Amino acid sequence: MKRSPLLPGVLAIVAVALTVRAQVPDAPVQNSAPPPAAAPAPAPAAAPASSGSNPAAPPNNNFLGKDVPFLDPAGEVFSWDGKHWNVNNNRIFSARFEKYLNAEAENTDANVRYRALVRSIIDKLSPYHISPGSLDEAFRMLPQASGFEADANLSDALAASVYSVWQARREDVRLVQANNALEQERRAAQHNAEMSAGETNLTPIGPRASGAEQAQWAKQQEMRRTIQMEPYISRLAEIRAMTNANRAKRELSELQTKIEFQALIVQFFFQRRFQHVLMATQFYRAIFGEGDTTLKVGKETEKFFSSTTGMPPTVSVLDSLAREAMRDAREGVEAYKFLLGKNELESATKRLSEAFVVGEFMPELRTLPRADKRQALAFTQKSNQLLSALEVKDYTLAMKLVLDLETTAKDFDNSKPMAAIETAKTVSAMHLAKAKNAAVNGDRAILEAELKTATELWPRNPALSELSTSIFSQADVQQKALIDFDQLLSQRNYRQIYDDYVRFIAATANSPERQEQLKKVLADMKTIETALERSSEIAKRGDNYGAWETVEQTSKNFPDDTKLNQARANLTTEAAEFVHTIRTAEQLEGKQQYGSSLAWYLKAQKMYPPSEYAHTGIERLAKLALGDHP
Amino acid sequence: MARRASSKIRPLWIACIVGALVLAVIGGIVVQNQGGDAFRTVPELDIGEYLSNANSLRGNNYKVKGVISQSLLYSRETGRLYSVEVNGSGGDNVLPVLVPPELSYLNLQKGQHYTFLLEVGDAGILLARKMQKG
Repeated sequence: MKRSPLLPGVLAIVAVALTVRAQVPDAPVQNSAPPPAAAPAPAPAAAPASSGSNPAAPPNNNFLGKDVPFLDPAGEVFSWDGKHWNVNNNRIFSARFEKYLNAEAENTDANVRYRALVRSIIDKLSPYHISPGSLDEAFRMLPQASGFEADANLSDALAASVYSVWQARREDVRLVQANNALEQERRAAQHNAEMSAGETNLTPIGPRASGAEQAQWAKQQEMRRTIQMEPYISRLAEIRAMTNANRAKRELSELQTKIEFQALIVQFFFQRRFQHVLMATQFYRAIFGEGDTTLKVGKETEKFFSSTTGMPPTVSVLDSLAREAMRDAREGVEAYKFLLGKNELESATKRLSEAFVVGEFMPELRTLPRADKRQALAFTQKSNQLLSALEVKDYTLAMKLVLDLETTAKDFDNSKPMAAIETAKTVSAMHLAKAKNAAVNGDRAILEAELKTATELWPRNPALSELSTSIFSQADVQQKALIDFDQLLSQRNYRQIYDDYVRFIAATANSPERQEQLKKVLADMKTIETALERSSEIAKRGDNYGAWETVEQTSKNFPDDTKLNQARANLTTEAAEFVHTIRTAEQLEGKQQYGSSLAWYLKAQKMYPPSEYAHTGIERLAKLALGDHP
Repeated sequence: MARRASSKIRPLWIACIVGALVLAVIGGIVVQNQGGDAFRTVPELDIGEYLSNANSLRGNNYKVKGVISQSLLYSRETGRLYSVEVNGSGGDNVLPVLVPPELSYLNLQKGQHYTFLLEVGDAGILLARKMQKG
């Protein structure tokens, strides 16, 4: 698609109509360097020097920024005030564009009549048809055009400006007449002054008058002349001053109306109301038919116009730019329709968005059927969603959107998003693997660092969620294990602790106090288990008395162990007579029936000579018997 | 004919002699029995009672026949404590018997049969007052 060399300038100028304050910067603000995309474009007086980063530079207090806005259509990057945005990543633009895409085509009768009226005005003002009559007709049609909603009363503003010029012109005529009258008065004053100077006549003094008398006479003569001429001279000065003031008023009035009219044209241009620009420039030429058409704009804007269009800013330049913009918008719409037919939605949407940026109010865009626009809307929404997903690093959603876009738009270029997605996934997976290793090794510092990095790369990574859940569940398990440990310890349920000792060893790794408690529990349980094993071995030999004694001795230290108590109960049955003997001995000893008790211990020893119980009981009571004896 | 008269007397004499012998034997047995039990006036120890509540028998004297089983403990002042196996109504039992130094002249050895004259001490320990072998 061939583009006019004027187009960048057109885009640059019209883009100022967008409210860029709400835009999202595409890249961090680099005050000292323009973006690469914008670099080849003819830069406005712009950026680096006017950026606020240079303390030596004088402050620039231009309205709404420090330089002229510039749009690089090649990179779709818009530059203003030292910041750069992609026009497709612009909230306001996106919102406005989506609103347009959802809007019904403006094909109502009113719209059709309005467009016909505007075309008629432009036609009547064209150089081929312009005449005082057509000028008046065009002027009378402006209020009619203003009556349509699509006009936004801009035609009224144009009509008001034209009327102001005409009023100024009538004032100019009045000033000319006043000056003529003043000129006549000046001439009369001049004549009167000359006459007054000639009529000065004092009584002459005689020849005998002395020199002093003659000097006095001459002085009086001069004073009288001056007094007689004074009113005329003063009036003459007044008339000259009034004439000069009127002349200045005329010049100022003409300049003021010109500037106001030019300002209106520039305003239409910035509003992208190119049809109104054409109407205004044609009115301008008709009214100010001769003389200078140079726009009275600021130095920055003047330099911008000169550097982008190669021409000084004039009404004709604005007229040309407006026509070029209109042509470009029409071409953009045609390209959109063609690409839509080819199912190349990405290119089609870009062409339409470009056309929309330039010619939002052009009939070609306003009359585009909603059904056609909706296809671009679907693509735009998904594209914007993809940008958002990539921005927030939701690569799962981004991948889904890429696949959707590939299906809907066969020209969709997935290389950039896929590269971003795949790279992020790969690097994130590497960090997760490191985090897993660190978790296994118990290296908390590395675990946290790797998890943080993986999270920053891909915050919504499902694997990250799984790993986090696993780690946190491990933490939960550890916490629960500690709670269980404390509870079992308070219940003296050492058997349960022993059965789950692997779990508790892991859980108490970071709790030295619990570690000591666990160590004691395990040592006790080892004693119990050893006793049970020994008891079992003894019982296998048929020595139930010995087996019972083994568990009985251990159970005195660990009366709460269920397994030990179970074995003790079983063996008590097997060695009932012996147990009865020992029990009786113990009971009698407790009642200080030492003789009886000793007799029972002796009986028990006879029953089971290796009996430790009997041996110690006998030894203990024998000493008592000998000692007690008087 | 004279021979017939002398044979009638002989069976009477034989019967008298036999009766006398029987009486002599019975008498001898009785005398023998009464004369071998040195502590025949002392009551036998009720083993069952002793095993259940020796303290209730404190201060009483009993006689017990048993076999020396083992020496449990020796003290120069208080004597030597022996375990003595006895046979009672409840089966075989072993009683602790303290032999005081006064009876230390007896050379007690395991397996010897003795009849003990025992006093039940303060803690229910059986204290040997007299001992007779056999």
